[in-house]
Amino acid sequence: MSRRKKSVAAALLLTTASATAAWLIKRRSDARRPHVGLYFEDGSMVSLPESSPQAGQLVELGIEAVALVRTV
Amino acid sequence: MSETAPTPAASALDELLDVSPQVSAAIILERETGRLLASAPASSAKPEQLAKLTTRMLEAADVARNELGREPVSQFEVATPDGHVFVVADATSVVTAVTSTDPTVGLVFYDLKTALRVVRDSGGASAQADAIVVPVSAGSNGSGNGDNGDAKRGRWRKGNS
Repeated sequence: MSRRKKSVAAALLLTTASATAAWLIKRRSDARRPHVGLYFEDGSMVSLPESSPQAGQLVELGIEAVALVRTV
Repeated sequence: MSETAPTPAASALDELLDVSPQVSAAIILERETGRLLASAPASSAKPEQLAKLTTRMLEAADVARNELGREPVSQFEVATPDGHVFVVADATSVVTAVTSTDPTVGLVFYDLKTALRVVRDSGGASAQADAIVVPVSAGSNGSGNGDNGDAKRGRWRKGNS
């Protein structure tokens, strides 16, 4: 393999690895962000971010419940 | 000699904590009245407060689904930076669990539904009002009335794998 091809392959590998790492980090931080998952009787599900008006009170109560268990 | 046997709800929660190490604490309450049926672990000092929070969360979830114009909510998860709260309800009972951060959501829901099924199969929430007092003897686990610990355990993920 020529030197030029090796450089291109290394650059591609580096780019792929960086993109994968960034995706994994974003996915992990998204999972840690407060949110609510509502599962309905028809089997569907809605994920509500903390900022949505429907999720606000549930997130507050959830934080309270977790704190209650953690302080025991 | 006699001993107070754990209620099916209490047994279900013990099994839940056994098979799901992500669960830090859990309670089961009667859906209609909000009355606490069981809590685990035994060291958990504030199950009544968790029951009240669960009732408020159920109301908030119902308000949210009304605003969204959707069907009734059968279960929900609240993710916070310090842990997650899972609530699953059936016609008579509600189970709430608080877990660590990054739980395996599907598995926790599965284990909570199994706990509710154990309570339902043993006669439902209405049958949990009083603890059953039974004589402790070698043959007391051999009946097929739903109180058999081994049979119940067999329905759990851990027991089946």
